[in-house]
Amino acid sequence: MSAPMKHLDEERLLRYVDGELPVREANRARAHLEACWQCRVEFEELQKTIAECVRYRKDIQHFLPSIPSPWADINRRFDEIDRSLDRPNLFERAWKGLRWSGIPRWAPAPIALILIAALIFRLQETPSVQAAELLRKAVVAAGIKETKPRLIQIRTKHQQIRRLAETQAVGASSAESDSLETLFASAHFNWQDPLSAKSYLEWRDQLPAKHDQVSQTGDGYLIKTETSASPLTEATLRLNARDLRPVEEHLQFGSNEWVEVTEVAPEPAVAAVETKVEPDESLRKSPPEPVADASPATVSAPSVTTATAGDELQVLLALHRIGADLGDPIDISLHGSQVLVTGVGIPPRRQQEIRAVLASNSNVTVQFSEPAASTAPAPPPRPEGATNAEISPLQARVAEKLGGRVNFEELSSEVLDLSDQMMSRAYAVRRLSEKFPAGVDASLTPVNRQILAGLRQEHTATLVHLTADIDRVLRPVFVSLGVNPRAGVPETGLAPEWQPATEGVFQSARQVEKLAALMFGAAQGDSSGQQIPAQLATNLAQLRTRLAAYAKIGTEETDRNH
Amino acid sequence: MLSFSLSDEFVDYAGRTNPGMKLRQDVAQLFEETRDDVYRYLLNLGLHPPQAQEGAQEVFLRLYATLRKGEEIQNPRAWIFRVAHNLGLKIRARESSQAPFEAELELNLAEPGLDPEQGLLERERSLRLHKGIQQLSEQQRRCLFLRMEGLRYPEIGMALGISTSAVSEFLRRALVRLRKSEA
Repeated sequence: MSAPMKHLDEERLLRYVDGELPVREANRARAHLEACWQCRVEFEELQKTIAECVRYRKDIQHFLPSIPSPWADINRRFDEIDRSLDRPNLFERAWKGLRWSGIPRWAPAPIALILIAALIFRLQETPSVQAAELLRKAVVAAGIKETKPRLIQIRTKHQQIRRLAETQAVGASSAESDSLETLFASAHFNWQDPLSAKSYLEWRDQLPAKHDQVSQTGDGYLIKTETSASPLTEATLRLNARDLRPVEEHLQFGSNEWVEVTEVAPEPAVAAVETKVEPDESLRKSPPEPVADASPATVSAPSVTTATAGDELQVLLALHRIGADLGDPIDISLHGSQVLVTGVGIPPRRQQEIRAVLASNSNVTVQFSEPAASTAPAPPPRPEGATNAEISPLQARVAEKLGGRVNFEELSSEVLDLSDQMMSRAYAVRRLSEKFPAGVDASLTPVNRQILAGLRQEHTATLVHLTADIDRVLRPVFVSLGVNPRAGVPETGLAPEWQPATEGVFQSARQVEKLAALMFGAAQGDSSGQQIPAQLATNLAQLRTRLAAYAKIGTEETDRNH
Repeated sequence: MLSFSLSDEFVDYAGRTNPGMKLRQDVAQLFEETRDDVYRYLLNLGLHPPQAQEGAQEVFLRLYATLRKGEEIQNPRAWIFRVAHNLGLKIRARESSQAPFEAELELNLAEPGLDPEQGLLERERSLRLHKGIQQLSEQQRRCLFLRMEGLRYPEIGMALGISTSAVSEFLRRALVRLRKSEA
C-alpha cells in the first residue's frame, strides 16, 4: 500500500509526536508513518532528540546549585494567608448565605446596598477602624462583581497612559511603561492591576512597618499608608462609598517620583452589555449571581438583541487575554444575535481555553472544525535558518563577516524569531482595522472605543519594541556589509486615519519579513542579490518611521475621544 | 516528573464554602513534589539561587491564596509555571543591576570527578546538548524548558504570551538545531 498522504514536514511531525494535532490529522499522520520509511526515520530521529533533552534535564540536576537553605515550612505561610482571609467579613458571610437561600437573582444589589450601609454605620461607630479591614471588604466587594474591563489613567510627572485596569500582557509595553513597571516592581506593588484594593492590600501587608489613616470624604473613604520600609513611601487610595470600588490612587515614590492612577468613568452601555441575562432556563435556575453595579436598574431583562461591533470587540478582548488573537487560526463574525467564533485545526486543550475565556460572553457561539488544511489567516510558516546545502553567496558573506556559521545561525534564528513575533502583531492590528473601519469605530460607545484604542496601542507598542530589537540585532551586520542603516529613510506616506494607516504599516512589516527571510532563511528568491541588505535596512527604517507616526495617530485618536 | 492528578479536586474546591485542611494538604503535597522543578526553572531564567528559592515558594503561596479565595484553576501545572515565569521576569527586572545568574554548568559538566557515577560518554553528551541549548534563541529556549517540564503548547503559549502556532514553530526550530548540534 502506498503512503496515504504527502510526507510529514517537521512541524507536523513534532505536533504529532507531542499530541498537538487534531484527531483526524493525527490519524492520517499515523497511517502515513506506518507506510512511509522516510518519515518514520525522521520520526525516530526526532524522538532521539527529545530523549536527549529528557536525559539532559535529568543530568543537569546534579550540577545545578542546590537550594541555599532548607525549604521553610509552607504551612506556616498558609496560616498567614488563612488569617488574612478568615477575618470576620460581613460581605462574605452575607453573600454565602444568599447564594444558597434561593433569593431571586435581582436581590443581591439592594442587599449589597444594605450591607454597605451597615458598614458605613459600623465605620461611624468605630472611628479607629483599621485600613486593612476596609481594604479586605473592598477586595470581597470586588470579588462579588462580574468581571468587566475597566479603563484607568496613569499619570506621572512626565507622562500619561490610558490602559485596561488589569493586564497580563507580557512584552507588550512601551519603554515608558517599562520604567513604571520597574518602579512598581521595586516597591512590590502590582503593576498588572494597580488600581485595586487587592493590590493595595498585598503591598501594605508585606510592609514590616507602616502607619495608616482612614478618613471619610463626601462620596467615599480615603486610606492613606505611610512607610519608610519601601521605595513607595506614601500611598493613598480612595474607595467609592457605594460599592467600595477603588476610583483613585496616589503613590509617592521617595521625594521625586509620584504616580496617580484614576478610573476612567464607567459607561452605562457597557454595563448593560455585561449584565445581559442569557434567556436560558438552566441559567435561570442557577444560584443568584452578583451584579456589576449596586443599582438594580442596570440589570436588563432577558432579551434577544442583534450582536453589535461592541460585542465583537468584547470577544476579541477576551481572546486577547489568552493570546488567541496572535496567530491562532480563529475568525470572528456577527450572525444575528450571536458573535460567531470559528477555529480551524485548534488543539482540544486550546479549544477548552477559548471556550472558558468566552464563557462569560452570553451571546457568543463557538465552533471548531478540523479540516485537512488550515484556511485561517495565520502568519506564513517561517523558514528555518539556511542549512549547509542551501547557503547562498549572500549568507556565506554575512557568515564570514560574523565570524562563522555558528554566529550566523544564532543571529538568523534571533532575527527570524523577532520577525515571527512582529508579524503576529501586524496581523492582529490589521484584523482590528478590518473589523472596525472608520464608520464602525465611530459607532462604538466611548468605552469600547477606548478598549479598541487600548488593544491597538498595545499591539503598536509591541511592534515598536520588536522592530527596535530587529534593528539592534541587524545594525552590526549592516555596518559590516557597508550598508548605512540610516540612509534614505523615506517619508511615512501613512494615511491620517488609523484604519488605512494600518495597512501601510502591515505592508511595510511584511516587506521586512520577506527580506529578512531572503537574507537569513531558506525563502525562495534571488537570495544571492547583493542589494538585499540595503533593501532590508531601508525597509526596516521605513517601518520604524511609519510605526512612530502610527503610534501618534493612536494617541491623537484616544485624546480626541476624551 | 510532576504529578498533577489533583486538578479535578482543585476545581471542586472553588465551590466549597469551607476550604478546610484538605486544600492545605494538597497544595503542600504539590509544593513538595514540584518545588524543585520550579526552582530549577527559575534558575534557568537567570535568577540567583536565593531568589529562585524564594520565588518558588511564593508561587505556591499564590496558588494556595488563589484557591482559598474560591477561584478556579483548571490546570495547576500550567498555572504554576505561568506564574513562576512572570514572577521570575519581574524579579529579574527588579534586580536589573545584578547580572543574571549563570550556572557554571558547562564547567561542571566538563569537570570529571564531580559526579563519578556519571560516565564520560554521558557527560560529553550532556555537555554537547548544553552547548546546543545555549545557542538557541531565548524564546526557543524558554519554549523548550517549559515543554521539558511537561507543559502543552497552549499552556506554554499562555505562559509566554505567544500563540500556540508560535510555540510549535519555536520548538521545531529548537529541536532542529539541537539535532544538528548532536550530529
